[in-house]
Amino acid sequence: MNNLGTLCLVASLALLVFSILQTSYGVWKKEQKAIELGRLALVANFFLILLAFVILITQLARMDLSNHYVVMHSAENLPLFYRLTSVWAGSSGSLLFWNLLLNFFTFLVLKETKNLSKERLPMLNLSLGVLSCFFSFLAVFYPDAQPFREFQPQAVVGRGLNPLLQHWAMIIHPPILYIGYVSFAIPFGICMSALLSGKVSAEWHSQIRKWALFSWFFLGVGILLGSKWAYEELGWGGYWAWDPVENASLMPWLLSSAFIHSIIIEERRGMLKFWNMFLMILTFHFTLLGTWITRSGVLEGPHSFSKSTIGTPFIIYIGLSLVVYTVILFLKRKNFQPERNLEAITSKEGSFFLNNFLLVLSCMVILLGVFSPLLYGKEFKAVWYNSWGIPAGIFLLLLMGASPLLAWRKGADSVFLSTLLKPFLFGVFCAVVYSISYGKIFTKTDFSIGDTLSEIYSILVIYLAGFTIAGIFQEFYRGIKARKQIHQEENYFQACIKLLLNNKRRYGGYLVHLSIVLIFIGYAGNAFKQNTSFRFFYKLIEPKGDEIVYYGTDQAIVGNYIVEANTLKIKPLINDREGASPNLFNTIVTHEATYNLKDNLKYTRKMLTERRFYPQISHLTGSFETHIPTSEPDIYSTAKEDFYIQLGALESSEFSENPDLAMLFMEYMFGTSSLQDKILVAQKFPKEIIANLEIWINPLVKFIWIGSLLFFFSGLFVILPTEKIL
Amino acid sequence: MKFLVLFYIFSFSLFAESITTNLTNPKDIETFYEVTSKLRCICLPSLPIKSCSFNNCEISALLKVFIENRIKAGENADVIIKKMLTGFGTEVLDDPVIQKFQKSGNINIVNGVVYGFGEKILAEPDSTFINLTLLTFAILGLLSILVYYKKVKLQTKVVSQTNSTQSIDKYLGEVD
Repeated sequence: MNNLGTLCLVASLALLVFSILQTSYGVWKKEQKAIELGRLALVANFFLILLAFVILITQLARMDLSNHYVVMHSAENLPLFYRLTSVWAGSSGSLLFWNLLLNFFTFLVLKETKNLSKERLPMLNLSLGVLSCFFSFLAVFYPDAQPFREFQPQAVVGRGLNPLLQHWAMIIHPPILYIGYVSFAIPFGICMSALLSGKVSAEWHSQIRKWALFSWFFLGVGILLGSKWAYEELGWGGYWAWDPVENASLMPWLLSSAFIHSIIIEERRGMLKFWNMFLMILTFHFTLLGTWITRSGVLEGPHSFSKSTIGTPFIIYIGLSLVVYTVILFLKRKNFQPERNLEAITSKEGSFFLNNFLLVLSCMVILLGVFSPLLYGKEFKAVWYNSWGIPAGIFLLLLMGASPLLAWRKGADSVFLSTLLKPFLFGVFCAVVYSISYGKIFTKTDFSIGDTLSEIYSILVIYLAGFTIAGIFQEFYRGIKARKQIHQEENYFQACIKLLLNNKRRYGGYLVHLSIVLIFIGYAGNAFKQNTSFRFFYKLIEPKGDEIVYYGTDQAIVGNYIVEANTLKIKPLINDREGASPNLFNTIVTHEATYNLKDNLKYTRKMLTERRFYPQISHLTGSFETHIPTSEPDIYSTAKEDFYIQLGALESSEFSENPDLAMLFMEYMFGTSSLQDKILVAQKFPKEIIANLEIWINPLVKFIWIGSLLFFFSGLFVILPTEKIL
Repeated sequence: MKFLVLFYIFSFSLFAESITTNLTNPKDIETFYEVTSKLRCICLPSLPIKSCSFNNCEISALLKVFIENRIKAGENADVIIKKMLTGFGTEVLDDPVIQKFQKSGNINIVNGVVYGFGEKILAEPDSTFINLTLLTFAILGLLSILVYYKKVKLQTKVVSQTNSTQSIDKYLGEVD
């Protein structure tokens, strides 16, 4: 099957070269048949890549150990679902998935734009063909991008899927993020076809906007899902660490956020045409840069792939492509002259200018931060990112609140009393209430150290959130009122729904703004985040079957919360299909600690946190190599804050060296056959252990997830096609 | 100018966090907070060591205990940070935390503590150049907007009033 897969990729490369040559010849000689042939070759390429993808999926499902990728990223004992999703766990599989998505979107857009302007189509085909050709070229010539490399001699077992990826959010996070990344090739292709042919019309604007929104939405959802995964799986009490790979996805999202706003100015006022083209070129190349950051191995991060041979060709391609398209844009700049000038800085257009400025500046901050080890010889961390990111975020929130309320062409002074005053006052009200109450609402520990600047930021965010929310409600109210004057038979609810459906772009956009405000409220809670840890003592009690059980009675007090130790078990978890018997390869050893949580002296719930040790099996010998630890935190979530706990390392109170309890447990479980032997091994476990329990109190985090959900639904509402209802 | 003032105010931002420590004296806790805010996590360089949990990084957790020991020994924040950069000398080999590192064979950390980690241990290295670069970009960006606002002439000489009115009407018409 490896040969068949490789053949598909080689055929894809040949077909794409043919498509590029045919299209170029057709454009040069103005020969429609050649252009059509080039287009058909590009369409056919999708089916070749699809076949290659199906072959890899089949190999993963069948655990074909002659395939290098299958050996390195899957295992026999994994449930079928995880075996299939391991297709994006490694570099070459994920690049094939990238290629598949690219060709799928190319297929869609070629079908969609078939009847639109013939002059631009060849250029669109050419842009997308060159990109696709590059990915097929990598898959044919570079081992780190070849998903069908032979494993010679055939491996004994698969090494398995990275345990961190065995989480629900990791199943959907990569494909959603990839859809966001890859689909930017389409609005880019459309823009470049307009650039190269020099013709932009309303129908193409609508195509660009539609695809840009689609990509922006998926990239945003992917980033938010990644945050959720980090929060629930990494066990460090946070959701964003300014890690290079996180940053890699945030940069194109910020640029595309600027684009989807500035394209409105181009459509309505005929301004920023040159800028929008440049922004799309940048956005697309930043998606490629993100892919490069993850795969080149130049910058390390928790979820970057190891050092790879594709780094050099990839960065050369990005550099060349960026320079070529930018030079073309510069040479054709006369086609993109503004039709109108900016008439007032505090007008709606002016606010969009500032919004673009801040979003691009934020992207620059991240770009320089990410490459600081290469550019400045030192690495800048979260503290530095926050020093730019938080003020920029606050200004963006201000613009997000003010912009919808401002008038086109007129300064803010002309509309202050009519549209800005009430939201402004509501914002002030929210800030005052918040300032008075936050000290009483959020939990404080004995270790709390106040930070005045953070508290000021937090109050500012709440003020701006109140301002923005009030502005959104005011806009809806005015829209509904205006509609009701014409359609008096409608009640407020009907009018609101019809208002939304009739102008999804504007009112749907307000809902997206609302979701981002909620996420910002969640970030504001960070100012009052608490982190502490406790050491709980446990005594060994008699083993019960396959479990080593410790019992503790210690208590810890954190603000109004009391955490009472209960049992701490070292036990097996079977990571296999149902009914499979435990063995060295499918048994995860878990340290499972349970605690009783009391809130204001009332029993609230039992909390369970684990440290899991996944077995790493050698693919060459089939024997056990080592354990890979993962974290399983537990979160008691309320509207005001999350009480987040994570079990840390276990220490013996008797020995200075910490015992490897996971290995000892493996011996207890698999190294003994009789009950007597088991008892003997059980005696090797320390009689008393100390468990480190880390506790975080994260105020307002729930707002982030509610905002994320609203972002998903409102974004979906905006991008899905619906009919207008009069 | 206003922007510069705002930038100055906001450029020292840091979201607050409480801190995990075995110290009890409030002044010591403040010192511990200051030191651990300024040093980076050994395993996750993007985090300051104060936000780096035991779970993520046992080495950092032990280093935090070492910092507590230095505070208990009477050293202030500046001294500890300076010594982290340049080294505490061989006398710290008696510290139980360093002995633990030695026993577990973590020579890099032992050497780092004894002879200094250099600038790479700082959570926020000197950011003058990178901030100046960004500030230049920011000023250029704002100037471009200003130039666009003030000086760009209309390239399309005849802008029909009808077109202008149409776009406003289109916008106003959206409510219905």
